[in-house]
Amino acid sequence: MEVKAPIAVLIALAAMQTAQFRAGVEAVRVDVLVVDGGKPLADLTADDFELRDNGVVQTIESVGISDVPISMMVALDTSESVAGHTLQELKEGVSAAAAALRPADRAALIAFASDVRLTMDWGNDAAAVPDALSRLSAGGGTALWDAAQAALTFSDDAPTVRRLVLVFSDGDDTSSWLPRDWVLEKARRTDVVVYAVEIRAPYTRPTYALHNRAGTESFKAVSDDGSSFLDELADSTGGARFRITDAVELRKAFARVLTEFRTRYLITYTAQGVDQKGWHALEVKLKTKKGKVTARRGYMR
Amino acid sequence: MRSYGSAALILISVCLSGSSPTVAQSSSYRALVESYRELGRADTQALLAMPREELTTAVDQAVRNTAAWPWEDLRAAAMLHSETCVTAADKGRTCEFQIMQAERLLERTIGLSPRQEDFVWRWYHAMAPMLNALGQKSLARGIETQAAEKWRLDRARAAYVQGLEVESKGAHEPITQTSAGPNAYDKAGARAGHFAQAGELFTRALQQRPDLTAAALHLGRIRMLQGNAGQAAALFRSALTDVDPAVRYLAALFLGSLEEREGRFEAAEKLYRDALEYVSYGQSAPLALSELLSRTGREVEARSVLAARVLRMNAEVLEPFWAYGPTDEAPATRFDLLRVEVWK
Repeated sequence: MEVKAPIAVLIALAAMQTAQFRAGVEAVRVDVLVVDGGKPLADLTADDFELRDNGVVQTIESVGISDVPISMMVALDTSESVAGHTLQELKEGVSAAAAALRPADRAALIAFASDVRLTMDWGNDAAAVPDALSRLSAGGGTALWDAAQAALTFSDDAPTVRRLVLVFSDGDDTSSWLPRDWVLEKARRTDVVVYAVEIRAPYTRPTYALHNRAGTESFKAVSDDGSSFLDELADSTGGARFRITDAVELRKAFARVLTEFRTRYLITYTAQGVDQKGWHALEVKLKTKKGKVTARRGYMR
Repeated sequence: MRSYGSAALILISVCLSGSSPTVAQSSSYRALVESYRELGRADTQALLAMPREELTTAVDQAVRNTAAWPWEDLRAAAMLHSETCVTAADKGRTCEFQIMQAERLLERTIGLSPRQEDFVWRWYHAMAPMLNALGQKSLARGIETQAAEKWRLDRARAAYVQGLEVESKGAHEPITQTSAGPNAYDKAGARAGHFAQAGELFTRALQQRPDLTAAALHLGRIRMLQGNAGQAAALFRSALTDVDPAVRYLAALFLGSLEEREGRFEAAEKLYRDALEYVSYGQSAPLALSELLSRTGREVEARSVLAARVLRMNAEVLEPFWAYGPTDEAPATRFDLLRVEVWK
């Protein structure tokens, strides 16, 4: 399929290519959401943002807008507990989200239960999604952390896309090999934005199978401050977590993720005046305009 | 737990051939076993079609002619009979005759290679729950009785099996909520109590039979949870010598995770790669390796390991950790692990 790159993409690409010639210093991409009164704020430019990398104000080279193609990795929990009505709603919700993708957008699909499986490889044929979904069945445990790691690692490696991982789960991890903290560390190293949709009753007591495989330390399903893995995953990547209580809300939740993601800005800059290696704390705000900015808390180099 | 009905021999579809009884009858018994061992091709229909007298004679010859039948082939033949039994049982037919042939072949296997006692023990403990799940309850009971009789005097095995059950109980206890947050290893909690008791049982098993290194794997994991990384590492190292590839796989992964936590990335990487060799259908090993590669800045490699080993379309998965618990759990996984172990 021929993909016509929008001008914004070419500008962003040019900026990155320029950056590559600067003694190996890589361009940094930060995906940000700006809302005011719950609604996305449009038409912002580089001049509207102030970005600090480890406390040092940076020169923003470009601000991409929603024209930049999306690469959406969908990771779906197909454990035993989603069998029946939830799985059906899940399939319909993902199909609807796929139908809303644009021709230049790409998608891939991972299903996870006790194991993690690639159900649809990267491609821009949205019509292939319902077919891939039709092969899914429910059964087994929940290797949520393993699936998150796989989705982050296997995110689209095309340079001119904005990477979205959409994770759906209905419960806590019961069978991952990887410890949750290692997966969260991985999330902080990528420029992927994670949106999570969680379905659960207002309070569900976590149940544990034997198999938290790594087992070297904690079986923690929640952080010490009570936030869930998906809360932290979304938060550390500048995304969001939507919690619903009924499967019928899935379609709406997935649509909301895609709509919100399209309104995000992709800021590109080359870090100056800071050490290149290690953790870079990020702070993004609007200089004068009113609005709430959501972005990843930092990145690792 | 994977139920037998749904999971049932994840690899069997790849291996079953569609050969007709006519073709099967013309195939020699030896050729069927070789095809199974070399190619993983289980021509169960051929075995079912073979007259009993002919089959009995073929097995007689196999167990007597040690020059032509090394223990690896005898073991593979036993598994082929086991597959045939499962195929028959799945259709509601009894398969006692196939089990009897498998037992004869396994007995001879131990005679030629005493270390294969471990394989045979695992075979008995996979077949009984498997046939039970397939409705062959009487045959399953018979196999259980045989196993109980064979290992009646093996107190190490008894302690090991008891340890697995207690360890599993501990793992299912809720995590204690303390003022500092959830605590996976609260020393005063029921969870820790069960683990401590399981630890004693595994220790006893090892005192009685130091070669029972599967007990070292479990004891190592308990020591790891108790925060004693040094002891855990030593136990995992001894489990790396186990005859069972699934035990070596898990020992390599646990030890690798300890090394990784200590920042010894090269050692961890080697162990993860070893685990991939021990059981190539697992998911934990490629996930662990991919994570380590990513952590050490090798993103392209991390991605390619995942693409090759986990995120393949229609990938078959056989994860040894699914069979980590008590012996009556996950019979299909246990059976699959035995099958892949006998293939070349």
